[in-house]
Amino acid sequence: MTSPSTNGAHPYGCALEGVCISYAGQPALGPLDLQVPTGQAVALVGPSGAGKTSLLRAVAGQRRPGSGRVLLAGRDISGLRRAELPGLAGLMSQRLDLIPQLSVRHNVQSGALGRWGLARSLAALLLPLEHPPARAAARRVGLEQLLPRRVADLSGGELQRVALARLLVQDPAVVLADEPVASLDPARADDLLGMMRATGREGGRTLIVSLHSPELAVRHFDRVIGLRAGRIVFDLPPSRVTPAELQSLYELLDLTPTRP
Amino acid sequence: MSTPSLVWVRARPAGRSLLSLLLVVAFALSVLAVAGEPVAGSGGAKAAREVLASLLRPDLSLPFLRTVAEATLLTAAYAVAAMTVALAVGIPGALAVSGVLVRRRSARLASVSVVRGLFATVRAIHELVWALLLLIILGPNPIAGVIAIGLPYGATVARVLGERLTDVPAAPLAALTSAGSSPWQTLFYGRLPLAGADLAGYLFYRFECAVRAAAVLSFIGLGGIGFQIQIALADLRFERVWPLLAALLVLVVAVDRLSRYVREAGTV
Repeated sequence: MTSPSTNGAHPYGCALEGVCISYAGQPALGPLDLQVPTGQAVALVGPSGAGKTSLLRAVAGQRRPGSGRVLLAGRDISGLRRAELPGLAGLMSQRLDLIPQLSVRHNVQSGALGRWGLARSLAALLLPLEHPPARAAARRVGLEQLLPRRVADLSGGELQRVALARLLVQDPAVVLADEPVASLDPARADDLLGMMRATGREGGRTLIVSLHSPELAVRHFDRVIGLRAGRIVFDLPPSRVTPAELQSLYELLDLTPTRP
Repeated sequence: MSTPSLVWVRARPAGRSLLSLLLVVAFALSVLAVAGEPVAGSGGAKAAREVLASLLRPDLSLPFLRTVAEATLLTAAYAVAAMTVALAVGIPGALAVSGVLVRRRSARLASVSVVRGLFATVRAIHELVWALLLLIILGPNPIAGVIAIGLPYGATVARVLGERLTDVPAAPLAALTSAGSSPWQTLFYGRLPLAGADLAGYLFYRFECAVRAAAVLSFIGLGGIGFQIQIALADLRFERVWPLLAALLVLVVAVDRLSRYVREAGTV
């Protein structure tokens, strides 16, 4: 599953220019500037309410910033046609947002809906047909055996992998994930992040993942960005993230006004 | 010493309590308004004794049981036909009433309010009244009966189905949309599975209602259980009424069982 759109394309997978987001008048993010080179794997760390989800939603085009611009492969996100966005960025939300009543196969295949017409979508849903890239994605994340199972019957770690496989089928140039390992035990968390890294590398994808655990960020990513109260506190390669840096990130939380 | 296990958290607004009281009084008064004639006259008591006595000697002769079986099948067939009309009206109606296929908010609100008013009008008229109206227009024939049931049921199905399609969790739908799914694709990959077994259960409940309605609407030319009961009552052959009622019960229970089976089997 290579993504032709990223090969030799724009040097920056995504960029934020002076992005500000607020909820009901309360500032949640920014003003924030950030450039992520194509193919880089970035971890966002920081306490709850630091603005990680807002940043991811802005890059995914699900939250329009109050001011500033979001660029995907050099193109302003507000000028994109509806059909273009799924190929440029895809977000795996913290709740995963799968359809529990459908099988793993249909959930994974739904990543292709943006490229399918209605007739093909219906045929894939109602007839015993298979989309080969969906099987490939399921195999890639170790779900091939579970394809016919209902999503409602799966465990937490399996659900996470279904959501990842759906995103692989959608095949966006920038893969975004909001706390993908929050509900997993350490071994499974390592496993999933390793898988995300590997699939990102294979497709030349840019990867931005928010995490609670700085240890996982340092172990799996090219670049670690610390967020607090909507601002970037540090932006370092993992080798240079020191305990002091992390401490500043979490300790200062007490001094900032808390936000619901 | 010991803390009370329950405490009032907050007082209800006075306006709501007053409204509840008014409603209770209104319902109580409505019962008084109905009471007028004595319920059972002297002749009525004798008839009731005859009806009950006939319960001990129901007509179980083979030719009559054959009639009962035919009537049951006929009623079931009319119910199926009426449900087909109801679904043909109700499914497109549900999509129109809920506006789930319209992306633009302003266009959705406009179309939804118009269609909702139309269906509310159709639904407001009971199937019996529809039958009386259609009797005048089409004369006594089964098609009029099937339409009389199917039309208001279709409007009801449109409303309930429409609500079920709207009242599904928004986040999974948003995830599909952001993956590039169109409103039609989201309908089949999101809304319908999420509304799921609930939907099938409701449609079977409507089918059950259609069976009973089909038994009632014999005067419009729907043969079947209702028609046979009408004949038996006209001839004062109460011993024939009981097997017919039993057949209706069997039919309704069968639909209920089928419904449970389908819901447990799950959809897709």
